[in-house]
Amino acid sequence: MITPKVLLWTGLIFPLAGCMGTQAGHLYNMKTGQTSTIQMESPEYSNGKVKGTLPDGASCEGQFSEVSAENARKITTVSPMLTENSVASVAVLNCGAGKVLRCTLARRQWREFSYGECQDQQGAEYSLVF
Amino acid sequence: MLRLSILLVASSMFVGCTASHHGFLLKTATGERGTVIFHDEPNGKHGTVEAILANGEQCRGQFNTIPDQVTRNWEDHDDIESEDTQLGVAAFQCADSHVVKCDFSRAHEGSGSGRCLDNLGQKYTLEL
Repeated sequence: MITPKVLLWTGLIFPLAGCMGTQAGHLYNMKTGQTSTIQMESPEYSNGKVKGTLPDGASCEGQFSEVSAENARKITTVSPMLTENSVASVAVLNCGAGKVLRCTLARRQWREFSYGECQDQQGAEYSLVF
Repeated sequence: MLRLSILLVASSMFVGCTASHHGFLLKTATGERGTVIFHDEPNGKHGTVEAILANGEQCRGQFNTIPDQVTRNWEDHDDIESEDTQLGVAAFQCADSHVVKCDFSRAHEGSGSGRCLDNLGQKYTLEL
């Protein structure tokens, strides 16, 4: 029996659930054309955890932090389009076997991520779209 | 109470409508023309992309944007009232292991342009 109270709570929880937790992004290897997914935890905050897989199946874990656009360009070798009305973040992921993925991400202030560019230490480039 | 609850559940699942913007994908080397459709979520900030390349390949993917030129609230400068123009990235997968990525700019109503590159090194011009 579905009571009005259950329906009311369901109606309140569904919209809120979309605003919290994790945000998934699609990672595209721009050399091989393979894809995979990356999850950002607490994406609306200035820092948090990242995990996911590379298109070749390697599991990755790391952190993201908000930085100035200028510092993002110094820290990573790839940079997505940024504007004065957007915020930059840098994510570094350890993907095992000495593989490290460095990403620069763009988003709105206090909002979830929009897109990013990543590169591993072998020079393979990846595009990330949320 | 029951009617109100049902209405709330229904509205939370079907909020708003998506807007679609049709455009073209021109292969730089040959000038061949494919089509592209951007399906915007109701907030007008991100969505899904469908494309058909000039050779008939069908592609699907996502796009997302950041604000470029904005109009700010004159009382609260931190509050962005409207995003007059946006920069965005669209990425879509076509046939097996063939992906296309586009950097684009667009106006509030959806018109814009961009440059695209696929993993085979082919360049495209995006017209929205």
